[in-house]
Amino acid sequence: MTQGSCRDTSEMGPRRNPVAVPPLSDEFYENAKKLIARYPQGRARSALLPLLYLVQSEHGFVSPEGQRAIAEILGLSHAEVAAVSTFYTMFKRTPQGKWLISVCTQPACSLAGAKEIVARLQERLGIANGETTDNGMISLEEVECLCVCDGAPVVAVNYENYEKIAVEEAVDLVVRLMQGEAPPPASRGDVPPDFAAVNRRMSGLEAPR
Amino acid sequence: MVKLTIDGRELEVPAGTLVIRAAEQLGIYIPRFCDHPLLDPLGACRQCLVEIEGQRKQLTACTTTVSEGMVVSTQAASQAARDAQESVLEFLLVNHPLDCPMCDKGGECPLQDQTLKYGPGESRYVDAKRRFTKPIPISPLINLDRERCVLCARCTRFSSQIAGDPLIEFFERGASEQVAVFEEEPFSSAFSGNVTQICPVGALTTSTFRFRARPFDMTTTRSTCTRCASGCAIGVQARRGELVRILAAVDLDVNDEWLCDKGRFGHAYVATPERVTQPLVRKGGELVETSWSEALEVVASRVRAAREAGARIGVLGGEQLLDEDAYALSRFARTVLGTNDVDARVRVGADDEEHLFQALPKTITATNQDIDAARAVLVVGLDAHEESPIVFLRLRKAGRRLGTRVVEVGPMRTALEKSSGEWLATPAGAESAALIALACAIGGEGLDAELRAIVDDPEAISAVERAGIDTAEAARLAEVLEEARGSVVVLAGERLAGSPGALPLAWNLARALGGKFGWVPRRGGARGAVDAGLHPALLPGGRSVRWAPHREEVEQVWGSPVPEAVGRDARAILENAAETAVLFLFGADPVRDFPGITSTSAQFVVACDMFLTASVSQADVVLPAAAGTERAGTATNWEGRRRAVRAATSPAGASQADIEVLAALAAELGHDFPGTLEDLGEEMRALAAEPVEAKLLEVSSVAAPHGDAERSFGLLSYPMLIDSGTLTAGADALTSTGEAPYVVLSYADASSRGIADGTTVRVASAAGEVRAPARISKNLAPGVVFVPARQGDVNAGVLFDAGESVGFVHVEAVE
Amino acid sequence: MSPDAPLQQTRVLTARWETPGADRLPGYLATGGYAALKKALAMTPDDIIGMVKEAGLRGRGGAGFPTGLKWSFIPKDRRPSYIVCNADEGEPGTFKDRELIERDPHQLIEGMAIAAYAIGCTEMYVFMRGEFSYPARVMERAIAEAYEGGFLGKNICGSGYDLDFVIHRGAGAYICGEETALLEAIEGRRGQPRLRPPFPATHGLFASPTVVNNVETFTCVPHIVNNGPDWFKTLGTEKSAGTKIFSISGDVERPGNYEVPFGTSARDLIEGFAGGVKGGKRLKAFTPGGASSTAIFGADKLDVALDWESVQAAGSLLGTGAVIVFAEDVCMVRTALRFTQFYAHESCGKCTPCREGTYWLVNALQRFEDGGGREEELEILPRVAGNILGRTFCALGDFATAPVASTVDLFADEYRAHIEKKGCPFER
Repeated sequence: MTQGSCRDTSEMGPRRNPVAVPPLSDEFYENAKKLIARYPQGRARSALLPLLYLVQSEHGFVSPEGQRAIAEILGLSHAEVAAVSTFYTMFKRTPQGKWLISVCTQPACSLAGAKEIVARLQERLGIANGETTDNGMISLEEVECLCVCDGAPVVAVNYENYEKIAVEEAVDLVVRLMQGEAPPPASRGDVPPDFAAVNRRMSGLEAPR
Repeated sequence: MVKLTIDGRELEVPAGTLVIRAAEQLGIYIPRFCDHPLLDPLGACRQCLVEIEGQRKQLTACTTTVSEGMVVSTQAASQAARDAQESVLEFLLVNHPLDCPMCDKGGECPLQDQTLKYGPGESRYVDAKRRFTKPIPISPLINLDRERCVLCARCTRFSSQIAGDPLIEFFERGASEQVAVFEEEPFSSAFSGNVTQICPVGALTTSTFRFRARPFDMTTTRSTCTRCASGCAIGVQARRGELVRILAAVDLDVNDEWLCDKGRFGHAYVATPERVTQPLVRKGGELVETSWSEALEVVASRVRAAREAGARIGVLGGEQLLDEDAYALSRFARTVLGTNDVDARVRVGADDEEHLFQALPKTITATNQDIDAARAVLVVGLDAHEESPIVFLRLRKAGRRLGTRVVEVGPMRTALEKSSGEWLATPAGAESAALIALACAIGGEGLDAELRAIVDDPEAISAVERAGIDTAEAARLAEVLEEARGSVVVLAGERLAGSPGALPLAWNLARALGGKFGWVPRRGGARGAVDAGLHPALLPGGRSVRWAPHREEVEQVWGSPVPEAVGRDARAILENAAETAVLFLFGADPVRDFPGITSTSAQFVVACDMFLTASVSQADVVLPAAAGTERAGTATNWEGRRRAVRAATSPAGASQADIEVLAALAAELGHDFPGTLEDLGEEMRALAAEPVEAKLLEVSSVAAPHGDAERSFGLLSYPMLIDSGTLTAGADALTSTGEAPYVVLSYADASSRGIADGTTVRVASAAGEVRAPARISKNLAPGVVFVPARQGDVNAGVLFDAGESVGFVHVEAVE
Repeated sequence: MSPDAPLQQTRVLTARWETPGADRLPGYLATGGYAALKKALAMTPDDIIGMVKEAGLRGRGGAGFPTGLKWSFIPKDRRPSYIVCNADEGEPGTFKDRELIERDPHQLIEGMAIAAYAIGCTEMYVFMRGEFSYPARVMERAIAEAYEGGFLGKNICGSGYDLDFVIHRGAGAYICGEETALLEAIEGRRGQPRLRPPFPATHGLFASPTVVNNVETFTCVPHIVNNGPDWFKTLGTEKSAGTKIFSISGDVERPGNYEVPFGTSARDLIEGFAGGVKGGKRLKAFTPGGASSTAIFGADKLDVALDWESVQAAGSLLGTGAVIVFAEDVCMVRTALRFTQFYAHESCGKCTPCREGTYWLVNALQRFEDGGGREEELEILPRVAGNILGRTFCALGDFATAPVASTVDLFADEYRAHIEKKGCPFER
């Protein structure tokens, strides 16, 4: 939160920098039906957050076109959909890179050097907090507590955590990703999927029932 | 009832009352922003914090309901409450910009007022305030300044809860939370102006009032809006004799605190240069300005000549007049002109209306309170959202609060769909068939013998078949109505005249269900014209020309004989215009409004109006009329409720109120004629009808019109709220929110003709054609095409034969 | 406690954490899993609620509300009813729920299932924050196993009772940890708390009676059913029964989750289990209840017993039991700034004091950290915090006041040092 400033939606994202996106796939509409079916009759609106993730998995961000499609499906106004999508930080206004790098800078992680990691990454990538590299590979953001304080400092790549990561290790990891390499397994053993895949998971399509 | 104590004073209020409302009853004002008596409680702004005995924390008075023995201390009696309220104001002013000198709200601003009264003298905040691009237009009418916004959510709650147009919402969160529209999509709502009135700061302001005046520079005159038949209470504000702004006034029986955008923003016509403000007389083919005396003389001499020759004199108009004007015109036609060739209906009318208009002034009909309490409302031939917006809001309110079921009958489903309204589809002009189907389904003991006989008639049954009414759906909806027996309201629009038998059927159905009937015309003076007997077969108070005792009652008051023969209606007058020696037009524009008429070809035309409309510009004499905000009188809304109209400014130029014009003409013709509101009012009171219970109305025919092989589409057409109407002259911001021309087709018809959304379509009848882009809708019955009456330069009137009620057309794509 | 004796955790909820494979169904069953569910299904719902009440179980999500009492508020005549698990752990310093899900997901399922049966719920929801990718996968796998094993789905454990499970992901909003904001998020709305009354017990999810409980709270339930309420009461203190998982982080040698009985001292946790302050430094301060601790404690409070009553008596709140430790060289102004930034960022914006107050405090603290603070603000800022406290729509506002209020109180000298130095005198 910087002094005196805040996010002005009339100046942000697609309004100022329109992004061309392909039409949503047929699969999207079929999956939308599946997601809505998980909730009780008359409660289709509950599928709104899952559908926003689904749009994000196809377009790399929550596109205006995607929001209009969701509004149509759920019988909401466009403004009602955007009111929800702009509330939550995990719904992005601009296309994200293949790898979203999130660094927590809350006290436990900051005490362990998280701020330095952020500064070095910004310098190395040449982008500021919330931005994406020109080659579309990396997006960088400072986030609030990921609740992995016992693994501080933490760098998350598409929400897979690399815990107790040294500054140099973090820089090295991100540089390799920049260069198109696949990431190494994260602290729990799994390799992070790309941004599209992780958002598809978030929508709950792969959850049982 | 619940007893509680506020600031040491005891009172008793109904259970469920909010503490903030209870305090008001004692004259105690608790400061607030997000609270509004007409919106659901929110408790967000925290301004109304009060101390309640036994509670650990201060509570918001606007969300706390009273409980027995509760002891409340407001800022008047509790330091803690005062500190809490002060702190909230200090917080609000952390980011609120010091815009007062240039903010339109200054002088009528709750934030200003409450800060001065309940806030700290100084703010301790020294850092930067948040900045937004400001102001940004969210529609041609409304500007948004997010820096000023206190996030009270009144505007978003109004739009979502009251209007049903959730087009503005809160985006973002925390200190970045802001009111926003989606992308560049404007805040297109027929009720958008209301948010500027309930906004407690200058965040939402109107473009029409921007920088125009300070509240303390204006006079405010409470009056009634006459732009439609809702009859909303308004405050008309003027500065230095010029009308500057119209606000909604509070009238919980009619419009709560709301106004539609046309009523709020459409007043520019009063001051446009196009307005006729001097009498005009045609000399050498041109209309030239003249004096009143000359104009009156010219008219009088023509009238005298016509009367001497026994020629016909016709009078058209009245649905735009105030009650006294309409009454005076009705009397003038009979006693001065000696004719019953009088008709206020410069629109599609029907013989059915005669009996309805006889009954309306005499019968206890539906009111807004009946809608409030109804368990079901049947809406036929009426698009409330476009024709009588506040009725639409009332229906929405009943649906939200009570779960009232709304059933629409007609060829097109209206905006009531978003209030979960039901829809029984009919072809154009076949609403009577749908009503028969509903009545049949109610069946058995539910209908009285007379109505039973009507619906069991073979003609009625075949009408249902021919119209293809979905009888299963009718049965389902009939059950909805049956369940609401005793608290049903039937609302019939003026358009129902186009379906033979529909008006009396709707009336009879309401009666049969133990409910109430309401006739909802479009224009503000239409009901007053009915009460005044501006109809070839009717006299004031619902009396009939055909019945001698009625004529005698009227003659007693008028001191003058009433012609015995029923007169010509508007259609007959216009079709036989060549025979008419003198035709009077009072606020009537048949060339534009009467389907199929292209000129008023009477021998001599006298128009009393404000503008040189298509009809008026053909007249021989034009008498300038004063606007509804420039003179006093009363207006009767669709409920039959009479409300005062007051002058906020003086009549422009030499214009006169219609009652004065008529008195002057009468005097010129040597008649003693009442010319003041008092004198006219006395006569009107003497002729007012005694209200009685509804009686069955005769149904003469239910034969719906139909097309042929070449022109198979039923044409549905009526004016939208914001269109190219005469009285929207000068209100450019308002008219820019109206739509470009379009036509609507159903999915089935569109796909079989290869028509997609946006395809230009040609709609043609024997009389003429129009072309406009198509919109495909699931809310239109197949075999019907909807063409708005007047959008842009498209006038659907060209498609009708003279006075035809329902047209049939040919539809095809053109590319 | 002898400094030489090895400290043992009291492993009830974390009993399976050291057992490989216990996060899978065979391993779970082999360690006594789902026995409590079977036992519960043979009891009456009223008996189960009575048992939980008797055991004195209190919510582990921060509020400490008696769980059995909460369940008893559900009306018996209105259905459907819902069990919703609050897995939106987002409080800085708290990470117990995460590890509970990662290591013993079936324990959570079992606890929720027993609760569902107790309130007549046939469809349970877990609201899991979006960032918990790995825990979500573990949960999904466990749910699939439970369905396959007949512990979820139709006729669970042959009892004739049907029970379904829906996972709903959050999208990055700490406020959704507030129970009514959580319900709003599940219903597809902005995560802003709701007006109460009506309460979730009568009008919760989808306007139906709902119980929202924390992950850790649910995991206690199978143990209470298996071992009885009296056993549960032998652990912890009189008013804070049972064990608690404390999350220790910050400047300690061994950050992690540690399960101990309520009433264990902060000293035992920090110096005993977590190995003391990192690098042998002196302890300057610690939070007894994470970022939401209404007061940060100084070293003088190390012997405070960590249970609800004792912590409250010492002037703070136990909350979720997140102990963040700050060494002597940590700048408390900067710490207060970071915490306040968290609250300002997570503030939902609905109510004036939280929205504007956190904005004010963040700007002022940033200015202080940069050296632009003023002496009078040492009085003004706590007053501003005091103006937020108790006046907001929900508790987030209250928590937001804690960092600045308690650091100005305990570490006013550090604030003054910033003023004097016109900058921050600390390295970290």
